[in-house]
Amino acid sequence: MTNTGTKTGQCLCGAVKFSAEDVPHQIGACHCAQCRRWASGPYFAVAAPGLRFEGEENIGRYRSSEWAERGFCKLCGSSLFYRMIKEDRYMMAVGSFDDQSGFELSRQVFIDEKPGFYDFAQATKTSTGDDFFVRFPDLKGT
Amino acid sequence: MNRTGQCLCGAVQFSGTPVGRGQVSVCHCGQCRRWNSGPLMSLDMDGVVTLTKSDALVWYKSSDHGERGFCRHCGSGLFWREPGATLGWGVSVGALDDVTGVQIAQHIWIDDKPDFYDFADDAPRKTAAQCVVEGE
Repeated sequence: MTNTGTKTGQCLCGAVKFSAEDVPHQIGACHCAQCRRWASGPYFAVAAPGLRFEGEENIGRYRSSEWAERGFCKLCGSSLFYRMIKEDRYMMAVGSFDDQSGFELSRQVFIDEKPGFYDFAQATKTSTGDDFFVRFPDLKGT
Repeated sequence: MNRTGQCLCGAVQFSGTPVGRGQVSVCHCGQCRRWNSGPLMSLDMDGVVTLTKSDALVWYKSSDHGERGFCRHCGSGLFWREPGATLGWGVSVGALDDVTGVQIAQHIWIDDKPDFYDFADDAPRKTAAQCVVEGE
């Protein structure tokens, strides 16, 4: 499947801007308790190959687990990314993209941590927290 | 019923009483989605929200009508209020320690929602124009 091509984005105040190449159409939503504490509800994420930042000095980084950190704008508090450190894999906040056309919600992860009071209407692939650790076995127990 | 909550790192902690049993407003406006990655899911609070730990709380004024409170250590988005307001705060539902009994009461700025997601509930949907009329 073709990708959406090069996309740009920024935080709410504009102090951090970014561009990414070959951004896929498929996005995911994470229902884990950490993401929901961070973002009020599920974290909407998309991979961002070829990522470049402007205003990188305005990015705050919080180490939320042994294997990952969360990036945000220090001036306005916008969520920017979830990054798996060892893999250097960025999952960018979908809401920060300037053009969100072409995105499709294709996967929901940590579905077993989703509270009962909301559901999405879309039929997507789903996976549990345990599935995540099967996919990334090195992280188990860390 | 009193509810407690905190940001991801614990540097900001709060307590307060929501309206009713816990009425969640889901805001689909572009500002909320830039701030949070997706829609802002906030609980409408009745009375004052007590900040039991707040040294790391920072307010960002995102428009003439609203400012957003976040933790400067971990970046969690926590509060929305009219600039300087002591009452009528919206509080991040995800930040609550216990969400038992909360329910979605309304979807606001629904005409700003992108097409790639929809919620399955049948709570009222309000457009931006309706929200402006009602002061939301």
